[in-house]
Amino acid sequence: MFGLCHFLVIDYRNLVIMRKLFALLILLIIPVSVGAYASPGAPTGYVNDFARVLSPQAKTELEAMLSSYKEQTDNEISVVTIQRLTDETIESYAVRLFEDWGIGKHGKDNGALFLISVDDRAMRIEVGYGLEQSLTDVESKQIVANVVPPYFRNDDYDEGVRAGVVAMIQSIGADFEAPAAALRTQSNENGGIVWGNFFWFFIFGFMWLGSILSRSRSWWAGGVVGAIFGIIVGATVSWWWSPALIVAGLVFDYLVSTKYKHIFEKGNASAHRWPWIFLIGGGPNRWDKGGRGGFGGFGGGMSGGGGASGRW
Amino acid sequence: MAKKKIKSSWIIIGIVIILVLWLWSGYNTLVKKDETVNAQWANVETSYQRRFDLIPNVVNTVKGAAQQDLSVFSAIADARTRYAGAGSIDEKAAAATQIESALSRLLVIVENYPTLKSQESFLALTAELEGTENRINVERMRYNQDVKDYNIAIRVVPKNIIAKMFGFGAHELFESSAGAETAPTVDFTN
Repeated sequence: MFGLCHFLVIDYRNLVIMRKLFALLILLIIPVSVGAYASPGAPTGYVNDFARVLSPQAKTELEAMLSSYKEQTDNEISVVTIQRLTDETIESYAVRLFEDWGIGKHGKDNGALFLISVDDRAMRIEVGYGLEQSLTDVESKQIVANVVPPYFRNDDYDEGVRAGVVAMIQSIGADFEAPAAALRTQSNENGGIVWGNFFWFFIFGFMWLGSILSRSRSWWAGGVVGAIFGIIVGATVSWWWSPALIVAGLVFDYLVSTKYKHIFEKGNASAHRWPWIFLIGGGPNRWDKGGRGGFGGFGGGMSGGGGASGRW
Repeated sequence: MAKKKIKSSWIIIGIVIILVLWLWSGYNTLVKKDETVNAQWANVETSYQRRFDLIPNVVNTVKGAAQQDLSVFSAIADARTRYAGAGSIDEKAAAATQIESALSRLLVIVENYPTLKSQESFLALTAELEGTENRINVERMRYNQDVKDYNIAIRVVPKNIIAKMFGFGAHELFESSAGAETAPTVDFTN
């Protein structure tokens, strides 16, 4: 009786420790975000009306204008409305949102963000590094201080945003003709196809590796393979992939070495599930990093605080 | 017996290879993070330079409207020479903070010159100054993030061994100045 109780207590403690370890593991795996900034979500297009102040047809029109502007000039302009800021200035929110979404092409940084926080009655034009010369602080200030506020004071967000965007485009100055609401977003299926190929490549790669490792009869070869992958991934992504992949390789090798006969030779139905489990279990493959949203996503551009803020 | 020996030596070779690869990648990550911090400090300095290029314009415009020599002007000039002579990051940061407080004093003084405030050229200057200050904030924030990232990397358990072995020291965070948070007071007696 006592023996049983004792056993139960220890078991419970183990459970707690296991839970703590698990929580720690999750903490280690998920990168912790810094500061108060909370992402409003993934962009769904060039126009992201989180505060729902734009009419549907104004939104469609703006979206068409900005996507054909992007096609003609390669510059990415995004319009974002949010309800309110939470203990953060519009300047720091804008720069973090810009960085989060990566507006503009990576390296060219040819993006611009027109951010409107409705309840705060504040707006900001945040300009990517690459456009700072053509959309200067003074021009941005002119737009947020003189062009837009008259419309916003009358709660005419549709016209205010349109006027602001047109002024931004004019300031950037590339020859561009605003289209009649034609030329809707081009379907960008490319990302999907490329990632699909990688997906199958990984599946077969895993099965192939599994069959080799299970036959090799060494328990550490998987660790070495994991280490090699870990170094490659670690050098490009982040260091902790290396130990993680070494462990994953060892576990993988152990599993296929011990289960190989059971799985592959007895013709067990669950045989082909093994590689899948590793994929689902958070392997080195982050499919979600591919394309964002239906409009193809932004290009990974950066801004450094250029632009101007205004109120109405 | 011989077979067993061969097997265990293979295991040792494997472990050694893993260790070497781990050292190699760990060292490289630290070097990369260290260089990121240095590059980001260069960005901070670039944005400071932008401010220095702008200051003479602002000062001259205000001087023209004020028609008198204000103590702020000499404070700004002092801070500029101090920044130019500063060697370490700490000294530069201190000098930059001095300029910040002098500049905000100047902007408060400007409030007393309505004609100046409505001048087109002055409005453009303030827009540029605002943009510059915001750029400085952004680059400093990113600098602090990179420093934090680096400082954590050299202190957490597996990497701290490598950091000690190769002598990676901690970088200084850019502390926000005490003066920058409080509103500047205006003194017209001088």
